Amino acid sequence: MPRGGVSATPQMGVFQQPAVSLRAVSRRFGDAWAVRDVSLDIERGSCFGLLGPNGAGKTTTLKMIYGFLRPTSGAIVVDGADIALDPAGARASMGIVPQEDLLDPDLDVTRNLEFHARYYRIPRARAILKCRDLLSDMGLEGYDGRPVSHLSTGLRRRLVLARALLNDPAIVILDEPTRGLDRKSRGRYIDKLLHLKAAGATLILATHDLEKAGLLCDRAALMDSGRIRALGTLPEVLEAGAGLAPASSPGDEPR
Amino acid sequence: MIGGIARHLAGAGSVWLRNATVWRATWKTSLVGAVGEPLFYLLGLGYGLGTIIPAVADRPYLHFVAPGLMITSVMYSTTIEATYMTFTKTEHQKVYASMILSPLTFADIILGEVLWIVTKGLISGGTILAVVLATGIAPVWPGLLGVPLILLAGFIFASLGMIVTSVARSYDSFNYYFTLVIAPMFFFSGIFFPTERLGSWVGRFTQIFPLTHLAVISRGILGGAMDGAFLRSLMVAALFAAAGFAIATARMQRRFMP
Repeated sequence: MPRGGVSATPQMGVFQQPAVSLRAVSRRFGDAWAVRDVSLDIERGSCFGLLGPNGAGKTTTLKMIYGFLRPTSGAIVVDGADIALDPAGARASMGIVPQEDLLDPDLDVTRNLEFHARYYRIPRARAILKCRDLLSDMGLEGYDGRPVSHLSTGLRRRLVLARALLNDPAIVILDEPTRGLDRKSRGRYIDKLLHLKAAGATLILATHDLEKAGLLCDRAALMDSGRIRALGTLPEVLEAGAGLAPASSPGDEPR
Repeated sequence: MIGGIARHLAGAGSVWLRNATVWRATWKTSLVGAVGEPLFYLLGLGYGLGTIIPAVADRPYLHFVAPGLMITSVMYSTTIEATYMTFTKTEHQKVYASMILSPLTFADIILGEVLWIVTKGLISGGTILAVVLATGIAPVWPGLLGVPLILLAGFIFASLGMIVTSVARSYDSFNYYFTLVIAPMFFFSGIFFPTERLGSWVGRFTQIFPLTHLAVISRGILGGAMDGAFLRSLMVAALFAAAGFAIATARMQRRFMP
């Protein structure tokens, strides 16, 4: 069983560049280390799970991958672009579902998508069609002109996923994506993620919901106190980290 | 290089457009404050107080005070936008955090915000300038050079306001800036009386205020005195703009991407 600081995919072909690569990444807040010496290669087209209890360092790791936090040390390469040197290039191939919704409260549902498409420099005509398709795909038809503050938690989470898919991303970052969803909505949401995975997208999922991880993840890392404690397939990780694994039931969603 | 600059400008442009779209929903209310207040200042101080004050620096008081009022209207509108409004967007609405989930960089976002704030300053200052030119207080040419001056002033005060926002802990933090920096600038930068009246050392101290130099430039353009002092103040203002924007971008980035 590989441990933290060791490559996740030793069997990967020499010529196939990983979708995301972390090398000895650490992050400190004041005197406390939130992430310590994390090295990972995440294979293209796979779903990789970051598991662990609250405060394990999952969200901090994801924020460093999408360039919202700077690592204290180490390097991160996303789709061939160093996130520190070329954050725009790295994020161009990413779709991001953060733990907080981070929707623009001054814009309605459609405008949230349209402006995000503009930030991605998607041509206007294509963006309008894409927004319409995604609203329909996510069951958000009829909500297009509504202020986002009028949406329920479930609708907001669906809108956040729609926003993340505007650019047909090769890599989708998902930080507790089904947080606050009821069982039925969560099922639909996971179906959508399975569909994305089948279409060849790389998914990076932070969760402490093991049922969800079991449905989606090919490989996973178990984090605790900022370090990777176990790395491999989900059963391997759960076995290796039996004493550390978060004992969450399917309905035990974080708030 | 050119492609990078084009991408940066396009990114900043999309941020500007987002702000303009949001503003369009409440433009009537916004215009009342942005246009009404500076006009009342001009009427009250220029046409009111001006009738009992003798000529200042060889010109009617209205002609003396109007160029400075134009710049102070830019200062107030841009400072409010760069402090309270920007703080709301960053801390409470998380608008920048939302934008950064895309290929936009912090530099794109800050430039877009500053350009939007400059636009708000143009609305306020441009209103005064239009009145000044329409009523013959200043000739149309070179009075129209007041437009680039308003943009320069807006850029300076937007950048300074952003620097303050980058270190603000709460809305209350802005009280220090408005009371200890903006208010003294308003009263002692030569808007209402020549700084020479303040005595030698206080007069020299006022030279650290950007508003002092902007008032000199404004009076030069609208009063036809583009002399050596005008050129010196123009260079100082350009330095304030360049340094202010560079520091604002670095500080804001440090705050929001620690």
